Amino acid sequence: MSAVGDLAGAKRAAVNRARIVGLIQARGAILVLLLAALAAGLVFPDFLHAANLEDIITAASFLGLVAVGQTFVIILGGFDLSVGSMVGLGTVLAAYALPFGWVAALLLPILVGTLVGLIDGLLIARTRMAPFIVTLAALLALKGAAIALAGESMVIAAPGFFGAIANGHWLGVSNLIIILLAAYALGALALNRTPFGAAVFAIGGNEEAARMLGIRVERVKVQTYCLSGGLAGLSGALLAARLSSGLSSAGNGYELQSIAAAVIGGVLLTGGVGTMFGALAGVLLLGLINNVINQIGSLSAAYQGLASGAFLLLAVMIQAGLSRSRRS
Amino acid sequence: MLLETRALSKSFGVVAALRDVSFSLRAGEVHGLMGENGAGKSTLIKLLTGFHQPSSGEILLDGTDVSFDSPRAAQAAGVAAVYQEINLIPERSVAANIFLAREPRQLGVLTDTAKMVADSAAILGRYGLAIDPRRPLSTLGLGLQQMVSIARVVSLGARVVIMDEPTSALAGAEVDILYGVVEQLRREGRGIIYVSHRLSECYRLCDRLTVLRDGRMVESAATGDLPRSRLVAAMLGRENAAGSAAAPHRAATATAAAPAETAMLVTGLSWRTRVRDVALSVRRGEILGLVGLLGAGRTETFKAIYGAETPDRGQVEVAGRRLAHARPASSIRRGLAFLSEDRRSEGIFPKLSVRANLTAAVLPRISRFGIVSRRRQTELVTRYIRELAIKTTGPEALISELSGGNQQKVLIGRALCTEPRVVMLDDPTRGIDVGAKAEVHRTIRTLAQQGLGVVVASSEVEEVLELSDRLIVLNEGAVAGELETAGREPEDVLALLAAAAEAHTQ
Amino acid sequence: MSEQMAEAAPAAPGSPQAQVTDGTWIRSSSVYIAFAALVLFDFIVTPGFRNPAVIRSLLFDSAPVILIALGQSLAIGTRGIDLSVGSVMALSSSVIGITLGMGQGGSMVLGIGAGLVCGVFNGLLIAVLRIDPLISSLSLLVAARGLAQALLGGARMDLPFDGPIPWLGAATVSVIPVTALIALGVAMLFAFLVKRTTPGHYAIYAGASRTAAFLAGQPVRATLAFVYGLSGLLAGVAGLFATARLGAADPNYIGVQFELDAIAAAVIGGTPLSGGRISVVGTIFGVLLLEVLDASFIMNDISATYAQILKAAFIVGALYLQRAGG
Repeated sequence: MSAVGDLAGAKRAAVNRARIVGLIQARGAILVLLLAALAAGLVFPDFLHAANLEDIITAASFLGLVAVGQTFVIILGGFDLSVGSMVGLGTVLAAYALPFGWVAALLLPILVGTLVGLIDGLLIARTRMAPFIVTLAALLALKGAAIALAGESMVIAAPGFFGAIANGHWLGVSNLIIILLAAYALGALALNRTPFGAAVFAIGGNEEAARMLGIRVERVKVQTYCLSGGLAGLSGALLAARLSSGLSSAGNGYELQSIAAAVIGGVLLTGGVGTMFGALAGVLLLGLINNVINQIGSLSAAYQGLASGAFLLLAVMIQAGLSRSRRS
Repeated sequence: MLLETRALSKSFGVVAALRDVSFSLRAGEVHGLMGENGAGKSTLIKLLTGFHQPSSGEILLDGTDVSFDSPRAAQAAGVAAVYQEINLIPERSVAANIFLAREPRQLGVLTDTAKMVADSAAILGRYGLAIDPRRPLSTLGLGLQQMVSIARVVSLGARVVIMDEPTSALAGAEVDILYGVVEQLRREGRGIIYVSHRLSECYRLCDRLTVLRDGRMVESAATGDLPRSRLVAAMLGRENAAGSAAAPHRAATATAAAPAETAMLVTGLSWRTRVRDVALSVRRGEILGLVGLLGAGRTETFKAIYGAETPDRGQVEVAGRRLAHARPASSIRRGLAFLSEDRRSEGIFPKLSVRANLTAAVLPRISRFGIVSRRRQTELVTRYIRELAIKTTGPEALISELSGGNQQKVLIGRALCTEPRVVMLDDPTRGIDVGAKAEVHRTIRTLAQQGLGVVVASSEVEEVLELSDRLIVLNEGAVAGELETAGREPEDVLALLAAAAEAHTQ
Repeated sequence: MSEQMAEAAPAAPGSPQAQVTDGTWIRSSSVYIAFAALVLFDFIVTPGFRNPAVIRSLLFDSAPVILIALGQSLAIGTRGIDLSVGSVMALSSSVIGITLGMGQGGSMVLGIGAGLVCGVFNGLLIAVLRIDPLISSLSLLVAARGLAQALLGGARMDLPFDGPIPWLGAATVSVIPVTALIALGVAMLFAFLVKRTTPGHYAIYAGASRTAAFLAGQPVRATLAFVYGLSGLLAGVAGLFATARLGAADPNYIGVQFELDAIAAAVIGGTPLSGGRISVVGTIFGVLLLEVLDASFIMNDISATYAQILKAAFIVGALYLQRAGG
């Protein structure tokens, strides 16, 4: 039965291929980020200076927070298109709540975001409607709410301590960077070291099997969307602190950008696979691209959209190619 | 007695899936459960594991009457099943899969990964499985993945372990490992229900064997008291006594005349491990039967010939011309038609009309410049509705309104529209009532009389014997025997099957 | 997205489309009823609605949406979806803008061609790389919009005042714009395509059961590439119409969230997300319903964002009804 021997050899080759593919998916973005940073540093003399790097990271921190939640949702097997508008609404809510203290300014957007996530999650989990439709409806509703509350913008007269949260430093490092790293560290911990994270991966990997294995699928789905909404609210609050105003159009496009960042970072859109730090690498890569485009005076800011779009498309195609080789 | 059922029955509407089954399992026993497709095995398993509730009868665990209203309830009571499809999460680690949904905690919120890994290693070690618990499940072969399933089920405290076709995806050494696991489970005093179609395994592992057919228990005895021939007869035995008595056994008339030309010739066909070096030929006007136990590779052979799956090796010739590409479209063009056994998901177009379903394979032939000729389409549809006696309210009727038998006729009509030289039918009378079966048989014979080469596969031996001129026996993907059907009895075929099953050793 | 559903309205004999069962007549005709009711309401209540200028403006706005909604209904008919159409409109617009130097006739062809290229690219991703249509069209949505913006440097480029393009943006036959007539003509061709031609039939078969279609020897991959290619082509033409109407190529404004309108119109008009059936007339009325809805809000002085919310609620509601009936 030589067929059996051939089979064993073929299996081994397939396993090795799968291992390499998995490695590329998980760590590829980080490698690309480092190479890109190196290349940029070689081309632009000021690029690798601490001030510039700090600029890049703090600018990316708002998208970064949103991407933490989005990563959870994508691994779960859905996506959340409402986060962009939630950020905008979050800035407006923060501006409204600031007269009641900086704690209120932080908490209100988070609470509202969590509530929106709750509604999204319940609709998606209970009625089985496509996440795309439900969160798209939420996107429109939230945008309307933000405009209704604040018109175009709402200036914060006296930011005080609230402003310092976003603009200050602690031990020489920008607060926003600390918050960003803390969020990713906690996110990674939750994803990889808690039963909740294991459940998220399981549902994304094989929802029916997860259900049969005893996971409370509906509950986990709702919790995940709550997390996404809450983080979007937090991002909005911090953005308001940074800009000293509530801006209803803030966060516009964050939903697509956070999906792009996650995908570039190796999070599979089909669900069940992904790493937190891959997503962070994706976020920073997008931020790096924006920064570089700004540095090249001749290219307008319009190229940022193209660059992130092209990266996303490339990442999707590579993911598809890798999945196919894994399947065979 | 660890587990027992008394007169257990289950009906879905009018369909009786399980009838009056009284089954018993002792602690420390390996009990083989056997039967063909639709015999009722999966229904019995679903009843025992709480997926369904019985229509009548009782289930007893340790002598006490129990009823499981959900899979979780059955698991909690200690009854669990391990299936062919690995119902685990491939991207996650082995340890994560074993402890999914009940991970050991650390500080209340975090998973105690170290303990999870250590406990997994302990369980795996107990069964002689040298698997690193930190590896992703998908990096293991399917066989080892199945062992992990078993490990999970055991760690949940299962006392009755039901294994559904556990070795179907295993090869070589993996099978021995599984045998070792089964032995260990037996030593631990658990009861194992071992569902398999592989006779050699069942004879080697099981203490007792039970055969289901048509939802009833037709045999149940200690392995030593049950010779293979009796077992195979029980599995494939006479189903429809009236039918087979009434239908005259086919006399070899056509073949007495001058031998007709070859309609299709297949040589050296292989596809993965499921089709191994298969060779067969069909003459014009001949009906070739394909027989084998479940898992013998009938469907895979058809699909490899037709091009629905790309074969690794081999050659197919239709009317003397070689099929260059393995693709359904090419096969149809060359005159090879195929009817899948899975009518519902691979045959009919569920929401569309009879007209649409019938003409689905010949749009290019009835259209000009890309525009479909309504007239020619109607011609074809009315012709075949008439010729095949399809009972329908009209061409515009939804295919879903037709009975199974009539749906099958529509599919045969679809194949006939392509003016084939060879038609391959995979289990064409599955899920069709007795009356319609006879009609389909008639239709198949007419095809041959019109000069087509016909290949028919079925798990019902009498049916194939009646229909075909010649018969090929498949076992584990390879051709195990061949015989002319003239003057043969079903026992001859069963003997051939049993011998093939015995000869095949892992 | 795989509910089995009793379908609406009898299809013409000869087309493979799914048939009606009586109980769903009301649900399937709901778009026509809703449209009639809304128009009636506006005629009576809304100030200024009876002005022919309003109707003309409405039809100008509807023309591009009808085109992309038709393409969308075809994609949905194959159990897929095309989220990129709005961005492809913008890309078409930008291409027109930068190629004006070649003469407006050339620009129009290139703009439409850009749409076709995007569509075919999308189709290949779906058919060959087996990427889910949702994912590939989502990626294209981002990439095409980005490219559109990059081509014009993120700015708006005004078109010259005369030539065929501005003419398209203003020409009418009595009260009906030429673009609307073209859209109507395209719709009729489209209906013919779906009901009478082999590619149209193949699309419906593929939506009903991809495996059965493959086993019946149908060219499933080519069909998918064709469907999405056509969707892109229609988006290219829609981009041309929108640009002509606006009088400028504006990559930040043209086509934004238009994919939502296209999907809504198709779904509300009776093309189920589960595939197997395409309703051209329903889709057109779906578009008109949404446009009249927008107009009603504006003319009754209600903010456009509430119209968007209501639109979203409509889609959600229509989808929910589809599921409930299945």
